[in-house]
Amino acid sequence: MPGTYFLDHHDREVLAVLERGPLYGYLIMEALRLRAGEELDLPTGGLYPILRRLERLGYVRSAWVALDGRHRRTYELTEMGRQAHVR
Amino acid sequence: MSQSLIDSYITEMGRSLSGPRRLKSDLLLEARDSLTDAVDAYRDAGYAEEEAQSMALADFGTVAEVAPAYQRELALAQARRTARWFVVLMAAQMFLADESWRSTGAWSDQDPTAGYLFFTRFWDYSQMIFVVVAVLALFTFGLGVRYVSAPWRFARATGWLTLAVLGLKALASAALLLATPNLASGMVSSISLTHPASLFTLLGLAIWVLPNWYVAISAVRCVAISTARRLGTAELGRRRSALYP
Repeated sequence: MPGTYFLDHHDREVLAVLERGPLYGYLIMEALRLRAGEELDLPTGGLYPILRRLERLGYVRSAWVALDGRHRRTYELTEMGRQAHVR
Repeated sequence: MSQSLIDSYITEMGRSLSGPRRLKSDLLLEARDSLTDAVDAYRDAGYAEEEAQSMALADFGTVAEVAPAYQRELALAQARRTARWFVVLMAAQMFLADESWRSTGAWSDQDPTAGYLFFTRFWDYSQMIFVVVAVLALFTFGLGVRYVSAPWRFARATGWLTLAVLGLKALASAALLLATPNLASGMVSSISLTHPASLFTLLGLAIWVLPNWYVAISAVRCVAISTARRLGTAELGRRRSALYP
């Protein structure tokens, strides 16, 4: 799987969560907790560097979006991120 | 609404991170947003403000725990920036050098010696090699991150290498300045208080020298913020959120 070698378990979970649509950090974390069920071995603060890394790798893109009167950094899958997750 | 715990956490985090200012404030803003969301959720679930804040912070992880991963992104951004400006500087000055020297009247009255020609040729090729290496570094920190695991390992080396090449560049410039007849004297004689064109010469020198300092400062920052201690591999502890039992 060229191009996906450096995706670890958390990266894949994040991509899976984003497959259903664009989300901002805190909601991604909630979705990850629901997916993990019992226990998630990732503090919330660990999520944001993962998102930046995925963006650097070209799997997601982000933008500050105004939602409910607040600006939130919102992430969505790129075409590459979609393919990386399918594999 | 008091945000004191969150505020001091973000302040502490800001103190322990360093790198390109915009990226850093962006990361901190996002962290604060996330904590605010978490506090809101805990408050909605019936917890008192103070308790909601400390629970949100517990979920987020201590600064010591999460800062290294943040610092890696900052180190990479700094390394990318250093490599990018290094490429621009080397390429631009390589092409501009011949042009600007000719205008000072260098070699107007005699032919260069063989040793001088060898040195300038050697330096020309060296510069080309540096540009190629820097382009490779740029690739490593850009698209290449897909194929390089833990690219931040190279951030520190990028800073040191850049400083070394800038040092060599300064030495070579000094050598060429001294070895080229009429170059130094041509520059000095064109600088006079009565001559308005001397302003341009001084401006030209500043334009020539300042970018070197800019890249050097970027490289020093690159070295300083990419220490093993800062990028260290902190294990992320397992935790259970009280909201998702």
